[in-house]
Amino acid sequence: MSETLLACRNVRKQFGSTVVLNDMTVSVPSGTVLGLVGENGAGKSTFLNILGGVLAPDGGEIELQGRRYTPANPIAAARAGVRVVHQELNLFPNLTIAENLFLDELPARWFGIDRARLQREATDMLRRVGLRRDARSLIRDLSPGARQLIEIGRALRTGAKLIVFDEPTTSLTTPESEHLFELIRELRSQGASIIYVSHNLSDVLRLADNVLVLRDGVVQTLDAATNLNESVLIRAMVGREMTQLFPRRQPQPERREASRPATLELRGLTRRNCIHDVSLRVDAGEIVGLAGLMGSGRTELLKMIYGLDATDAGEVLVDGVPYRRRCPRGWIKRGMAFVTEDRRQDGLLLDSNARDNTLLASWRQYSVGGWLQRRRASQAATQIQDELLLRGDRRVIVRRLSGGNQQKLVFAKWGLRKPRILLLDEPTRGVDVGAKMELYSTICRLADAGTAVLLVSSEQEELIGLCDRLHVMRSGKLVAELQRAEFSNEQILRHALDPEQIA
Amino acid sequence: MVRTSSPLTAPSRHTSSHTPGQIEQRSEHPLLAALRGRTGVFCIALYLLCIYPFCPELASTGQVLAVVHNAAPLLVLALGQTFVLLLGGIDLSVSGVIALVSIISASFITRQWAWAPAWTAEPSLSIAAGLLLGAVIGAVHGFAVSVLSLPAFLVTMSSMMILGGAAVWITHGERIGDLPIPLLDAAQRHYFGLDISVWIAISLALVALIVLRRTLWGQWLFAVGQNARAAYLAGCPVTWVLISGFAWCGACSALAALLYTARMETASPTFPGEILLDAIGAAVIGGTSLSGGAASALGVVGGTLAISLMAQSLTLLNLAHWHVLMAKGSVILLAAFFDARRRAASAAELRS
Amino acid sequence: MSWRWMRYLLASAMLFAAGCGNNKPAAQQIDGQLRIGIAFETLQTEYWVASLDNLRNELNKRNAEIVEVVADGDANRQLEQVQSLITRHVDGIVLVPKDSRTCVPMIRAANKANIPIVLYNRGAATGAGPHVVVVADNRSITRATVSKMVEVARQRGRKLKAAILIGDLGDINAIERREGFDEIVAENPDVVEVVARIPTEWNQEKAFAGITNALQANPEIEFIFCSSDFLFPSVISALKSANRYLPVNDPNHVVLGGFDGDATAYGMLKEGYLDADGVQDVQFECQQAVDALYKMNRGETVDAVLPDPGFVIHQGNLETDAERMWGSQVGSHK
Repeated sequence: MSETLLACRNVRKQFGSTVVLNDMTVSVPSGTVLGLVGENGAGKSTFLNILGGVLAPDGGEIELQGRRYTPANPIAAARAGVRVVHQELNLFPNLTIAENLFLDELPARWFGIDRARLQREATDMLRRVGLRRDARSLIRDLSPGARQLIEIGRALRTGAKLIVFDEPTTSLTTPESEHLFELIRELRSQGASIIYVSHNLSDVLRLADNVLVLRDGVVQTLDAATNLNESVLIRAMVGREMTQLFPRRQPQPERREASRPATLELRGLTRRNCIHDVSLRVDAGEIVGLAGLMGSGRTELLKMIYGLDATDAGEVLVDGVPYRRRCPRGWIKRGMAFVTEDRRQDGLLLDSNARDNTLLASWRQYSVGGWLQRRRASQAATQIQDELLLRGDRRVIVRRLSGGNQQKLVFAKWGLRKPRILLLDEPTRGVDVGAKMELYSTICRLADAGTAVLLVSSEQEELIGLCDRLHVMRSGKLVAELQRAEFSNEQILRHALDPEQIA
Repeated sequence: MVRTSSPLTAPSRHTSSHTPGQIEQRSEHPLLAALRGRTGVFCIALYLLCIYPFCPELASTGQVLAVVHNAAPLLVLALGQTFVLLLGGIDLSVSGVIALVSIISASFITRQWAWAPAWTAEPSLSIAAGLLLGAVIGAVHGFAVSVLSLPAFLVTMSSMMILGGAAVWITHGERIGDLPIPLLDAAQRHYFGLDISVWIAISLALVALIVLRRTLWGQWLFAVGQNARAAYLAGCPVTWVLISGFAWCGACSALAALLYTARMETASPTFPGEILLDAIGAAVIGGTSLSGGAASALGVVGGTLAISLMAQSLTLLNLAHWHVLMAKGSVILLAAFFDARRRAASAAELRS
Repeated sequence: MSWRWMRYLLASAMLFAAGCGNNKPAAQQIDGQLRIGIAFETLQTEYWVASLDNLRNELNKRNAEIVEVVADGDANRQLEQVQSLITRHVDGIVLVPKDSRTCVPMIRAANKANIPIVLYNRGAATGAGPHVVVVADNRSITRATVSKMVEVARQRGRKLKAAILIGDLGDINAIERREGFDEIVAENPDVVEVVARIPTEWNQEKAFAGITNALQANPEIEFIFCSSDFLFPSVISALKSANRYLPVNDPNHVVLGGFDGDATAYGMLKEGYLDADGVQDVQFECQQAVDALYKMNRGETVDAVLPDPGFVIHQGNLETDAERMWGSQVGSHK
């Protein structure tokens, strides 16, 4: 083995009386990838924050290339050669890609900025991270995945010795992820070390040389990736056996009788430059998946259905009856629920407690003549939270809950309405394995109870594991419909990718 | 610190003890933790303790009554403002609404206009007309903010100019006095030792308290104030909530206009704009967040009393009006500082 | 019980305890010493500052305890301040009201508490309760001032176009000055013709904008009466920018008249730009106000109106009467 780049000995961190990291000892040799996994709240973020100079450890020591490493702030960490690519992006939406990439040291010329050089170097960097966009476009106009790539580019540019990736693939499409993996391997071969944090265990196993499993701030497992497999990791993470991620679906009876109208049907739905002639149907009790790359129009299609974006042509039918002036209120009356992609912005009142969030869509049902029936409402909220196995303090503001619990609240909000139609957009993004499993079983339970589910996800395992049927979208069109028997990663990818690209 | 059954008011202020994400509250003394959020109200008690040795006059019944009495119309204004601040907006048109409503109501009552039918001179109808006018002005603000997506700051600022100008234009700058004596007597009568305006303000505070805690509307106000988009997606009638919230504020301004008119026995077409800042200050001291989503009716009552108490006590110390201004400004800034600290703390938690 | 409720309870308990605790005026007064409240509407012009100084002098001579409040133009605040003076058990109030109507409830409050109240320099609207007013006879002083201006104008031998800057119409003094002006103008239709009436609401900016516009609309204006001296700076700069600010002996001189007798007016007279100025006798008025309060405290009756006859100062009597003009005294301090 080559020399050790990073060595942590007995690193400790506690907040008040809660020990978040307990005597963590790990070393990362130069030119290797360390995979770091653990459930939310296991102490991963705290460790990354210590490395990134955001937090100072309470005990233990860290050495970087044999020298004591105690960065006072993120800038000092970056100077020492440690870059953390955060899950939450720190980009300036109103600046261009190039400006964001070179923000800390814009190439200067005379008194201005050397625009030409900026453009040239930014374009190089974009090629390197595999993003085909003009460096002059504004961050505002980019998808979350593209932004993630910019963030990665920013870390690469400074020539860091240790790059920490925190969930880099959550908003990336499969090809984008693949490109990132290649990039990581390339960096490794150039002698840089990587710490790779992810909930996606198969990615971690493929990419990492060594894998570290954290649970409740304690190192559970630290071993070479070749000695490990997913079930071992999961057991180490959750501390219990987890036989199956996806619940077994009841076999679906053949419901698609042409005579009976579908619960939700789209006919020729079109929006200029975005969605082209999309027709599909979702029957009661069915989970229909929408696969596709980022920007293929899946989220946009859901927004159109829900009435957030205008429709240029086509119609949406509920039980065979066209529904024209669609809006959230009308949809909710018709029994639809929409779990949006971004729960922080679109789904939750972050400064309210669990109860208020659970009841957000149901207050009208729990009021008489404008007066709240608070006891009845609270009981109903508690009941559904229990059903969904909501953990964490329910009195505390939702901002302080973990991603998994937040997402459970979004489900609780809609579950309370007993939806007949459920639109799901990336329902398990940024959610730990345990909560993921519980959300999956919730989705299946709803479907088994007769809800028509339309599921958009970038995790192909999720689509394959949950759906009865799959539509693949590409450039705003439905290009293939797959039955359960035909599901496979290759099939989905083949349809999702441009034919030219494959050739 | 046990939460009673009122999770509806400003949950962001409630600290609690266990999630690993917390950094700052850990080492806090319980007293300090309790101070958090209700700082403004608690400071009143502290302030009283500090100021008392220098002006023992403050402890006379007359002075206490004066503090309460002076706070009444301000409380009405602040309660109106609170709803709009809760929604993440602001209503700067207060002085304009006060001027216009008072001169229009007074003009009706005193039969200033030949064209107005005789029944408009009926005081109760004129008062109702004034309140309605305020509500309609507020609803127009709400419409501009929600449907036309104009910034509340801009809409209400323009409105202040337009309404204030209209009031001067209608009256040619002259005040309207000669209000009917029986009406003034009724408006200035004391019940149980307190002026009727105090009782009106207290009732309004109770209404606001109940609305914010017990009604569907109140729940929606909080939801829209915290995250209008999430509220919309969850089927909340955001447009209606915005319009009604601004209309409430307009009606409160109109009510304050009537209280001021009754007190001064004169309707004046110009009204000093400083009252607006007092109202916003009272709301902020009472824990209302200027970024929306947090408010409490009891807090506003405390904030209003704080402002009134400060003005009264500093006057008793023979300090000039500008000293009072400086003190008020500092206190409001302090309250805003605590509010910002609170939010910075929750943002820090978010990151860690 | 939660902290929150505890805190409310605590705060209200303190207020309550404070209310029950102590009902008598705290500061002990020396026998025979009176505590006099002075409530000014504003201190923004020299006239009010000079008045306050004179009132203080007058009260200090009698060894009174003085409590001062200034409302800064806010009638509601003034009401609160007067009420606060009453709760502090003053023995008399000198009030400069914001306007003639809003002082009615203040007078009533004082009457109710049996505290003598003297309105200084501005009267109240009809219907106000018993009170004493010390006021310059605005109408007759204005009449005398404008008559003097007309006398100057008559020498031109032609009809002059005239403008008047009107004050806040809520202020009875402003109305009386306007009326005094109008009466004299109506008596001399052969000498002046009013072409511009500029509302100022006692506001420097509005005055400046108004006079500038008037001079542009009617460049031949040669006769300007300004309802208060404190607006003269606006008039001067407007005239200067029109190149019309000329000494009295210049054939194109604009005949100027003012009211109050402040330092600006005194300077203009001395330098030979101002033709006539109606002077209020500040010292006399302050003396009258304080006298009245002391008399009422002794149980004597006082006339309801104590007029200040005032006088007109002009180029002719400047040397002999300058001493009586309060503005000349203010000026000499500078």
